[in-house]
Amino acid sequence: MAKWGMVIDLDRCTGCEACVIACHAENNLPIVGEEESAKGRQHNWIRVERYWEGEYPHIRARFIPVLCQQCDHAPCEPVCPVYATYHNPEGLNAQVYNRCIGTRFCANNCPYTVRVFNWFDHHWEKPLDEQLNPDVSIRTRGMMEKCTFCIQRIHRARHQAEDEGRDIRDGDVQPACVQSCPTEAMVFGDLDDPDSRVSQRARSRRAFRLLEELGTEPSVIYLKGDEWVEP
Amino acid sequence: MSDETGSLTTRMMHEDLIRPVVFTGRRFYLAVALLGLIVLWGLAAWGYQVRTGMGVAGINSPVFWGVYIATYIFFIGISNAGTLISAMLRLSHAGWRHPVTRCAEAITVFALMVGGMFPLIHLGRVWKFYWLIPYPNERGLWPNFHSPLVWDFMAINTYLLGSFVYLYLPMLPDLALIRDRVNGWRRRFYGLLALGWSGTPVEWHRLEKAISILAVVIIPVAISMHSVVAWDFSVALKPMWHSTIFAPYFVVGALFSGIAILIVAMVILRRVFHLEAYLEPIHFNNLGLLLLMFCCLWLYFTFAEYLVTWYGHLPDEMAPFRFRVEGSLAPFFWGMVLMNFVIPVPILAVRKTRTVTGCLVASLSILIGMWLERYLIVVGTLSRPRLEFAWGHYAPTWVEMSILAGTIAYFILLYVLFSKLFPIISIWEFKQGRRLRERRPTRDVPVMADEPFPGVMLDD
Amino acid sequence: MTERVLGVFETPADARRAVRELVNAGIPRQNIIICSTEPMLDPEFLPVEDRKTRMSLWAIVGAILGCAIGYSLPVTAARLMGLASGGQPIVSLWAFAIVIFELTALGAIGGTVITFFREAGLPERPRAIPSAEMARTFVDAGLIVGVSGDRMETIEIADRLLREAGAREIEHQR
Repeated sequence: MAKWGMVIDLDRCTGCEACVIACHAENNLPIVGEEESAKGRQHNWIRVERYWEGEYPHIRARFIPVLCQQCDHAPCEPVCPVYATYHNPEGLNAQVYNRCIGTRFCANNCPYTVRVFNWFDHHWEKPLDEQLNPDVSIRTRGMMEKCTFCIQRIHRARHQAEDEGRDIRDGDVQPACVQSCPTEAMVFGDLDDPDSRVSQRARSRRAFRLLEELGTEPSVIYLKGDEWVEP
Repeated sequence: MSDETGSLTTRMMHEDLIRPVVFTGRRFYLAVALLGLIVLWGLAAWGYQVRTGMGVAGINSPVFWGVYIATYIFFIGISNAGTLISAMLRLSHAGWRHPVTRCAEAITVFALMVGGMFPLIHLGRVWKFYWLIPYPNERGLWPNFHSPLVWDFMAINTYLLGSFVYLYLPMLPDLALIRDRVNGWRRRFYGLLALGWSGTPVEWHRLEKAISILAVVIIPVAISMHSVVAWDFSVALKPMWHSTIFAPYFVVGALFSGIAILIVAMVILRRVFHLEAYLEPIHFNNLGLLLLMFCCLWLYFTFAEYLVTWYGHLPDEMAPFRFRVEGSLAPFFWGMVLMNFVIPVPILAVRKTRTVTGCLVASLSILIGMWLERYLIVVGTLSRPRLEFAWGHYAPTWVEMSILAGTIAYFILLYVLFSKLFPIISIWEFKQGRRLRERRPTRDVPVMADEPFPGVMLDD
Repeated sequence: MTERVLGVFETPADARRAVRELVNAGIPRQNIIICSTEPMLDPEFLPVEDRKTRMSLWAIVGAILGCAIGYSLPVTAARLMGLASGGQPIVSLWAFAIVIFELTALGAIGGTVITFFREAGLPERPRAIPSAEMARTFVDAGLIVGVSGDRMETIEIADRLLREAGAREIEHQR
């Protein structure tokens, strides 16, 4: 049984948001438009947070892609009254859309604010509906959703490995965001396998986890090392 | 029993208290029509929200909860007071309780019914609400008992059932009394509800026994229920929610707003039904003093909550703190302090202003102040999550305000219908109280504790 | 053929005297009928043997039953679902304690209410004691003392005693 995890090297992140676009395409995320976004209803499973350091003109942007941290001790899970979110055996923080009744307690209790609620039903105008991913269900209004680590890709890789009579190899699974990152800032894999790329990188001295002091045990590990020197 | 010595004869009293049941004025129909219209408007807004999606409300990310949950805490809070106050007054044999208990208990039942609607109103997929109920089903699925929302479900239902019984059982003798005094369909209606009560000594004895057991059981249930509502927030890992004093803080706030609404209800009932001889200034004086005590308790708890947050100065905690005290919620925060303490305390502390009108003004101010407190708790924390990038704002939409108006109107409507159909002052308890008071040489002094053996009448 | 005679009284003192006279005349206690519009629990009205109630006992039984259900429901449900959430154990008594408490209280309330209805003999249909006409006087006066019996002479004695004690209105029922 794998323990899926991700490493994001912030020193490599350029803030291009290719991961955000890839996630939209892969996971059938709707485009909600300017007006709804202004109300704080952006429909992103991954967002690139931008913070400014320094004073103009000696200023630099810092980027941090934030997605569901797939916590081992996820605060969102126990508060769900219907087990719509729970911990699956591979350490993923699973979300069962059909079971969700929309109390939004999980979203409140997420310290990373990465859960996304369906405020309305979504429609894709023709021919945009043709590009919807058949492996991912469309969510209706009133449901909570969030990053799944592209669980459909994990399933596909496992089925392929089973067909070929082998175990999943490192690199078989690549979530859409990881695949699309032009600077290879993101790496995905099995944290239980000490030789996987993700494990090797996670052992870096630059590693930290977001809001680690809360004891949520996130599965997303960030790398950040270079102190900024004024150019 | 007839006693012509008192200011009120039994016959007069029966007529006073049963008159609303038989006589229906034009004002009643007017009030019901008006309230009914507001309820229908709220219902329409809710239907629109269900059809279209929760997006028609102002809630967003990160403010996933808004007016609905604030009002939910508010209603659960005012529901807490009725039965709890009535039970505490009964257990302590407070001599002035008799005209107060029924109107307090009715507030509990209706506030709970209305408050209990809010978790459903706010549910994203309300048509699946029954998934919260633990019952064996063919899907083989159970709710998650780790979740505070399931605790809520259990606590609200226990309290609702307990409060209903606690309202209904002491009403049996009065229902029988009305049955014996009216004709026609009313006789059948009240006869059915009275369950064949005839007033034998065994019935009375068992009734008093049942009331005293229920009073003992209902007090911890009432406290637990509002604590569970507090735990909805304080078990969450949220700055300024994750606080150990939240449960007692909420209970104090609940009693505070509950006494306030009781006073408001009593003032209105007194005017509308001309109950000046029953709800006397002494009752308002005593409840006003109780309210004064809760003003101070409320300030104490609020100060304790904010002081440690400010002193600890954790960045995550300071964000919602600043947002409430200095940020865009500051008018709400200082308004709350004004409404909950600055305005009511002088009114209630000075004997001269602690009149019926004074109590009414203080209570209305407190009701607004307590709603603001609930709003601050919900919105103040949710707008300021830990990651600064996710900070947000919230403003309610017309849908939320319509549903809020509709539910408040529904609460008032239920109360109006109840006070129309049933005697809002417990007739037999009032007679009992008067009898006990008559035995005392000092009738005008507030009697805080009465008979040594409750229910045992020694009248010669 | 059971017959009944009922007298309406206005003061507890008169009613008490009536009951004492009836008892002295040898009428068995269980044949004496008393109704009041307020709790009247003096020994004349409610003898010691009628004060025995098992309500507290049944409240405790209900509480124990509720506690048992309150424990087994969440534990069984959590085991059946078998899903881990938030790193908490599947059976977490800290979290379930609230459910246990609520159902314990619910059990106590249920036990009390059921026992109340059983012991008070409610609901009762049709309501037996005074006729509709008499009830109208009764509710304002406050007390009824009466006797039921199948012997004509008993009823006649009772009628006389009730009148002597100051009954305002007398009614005979078959």
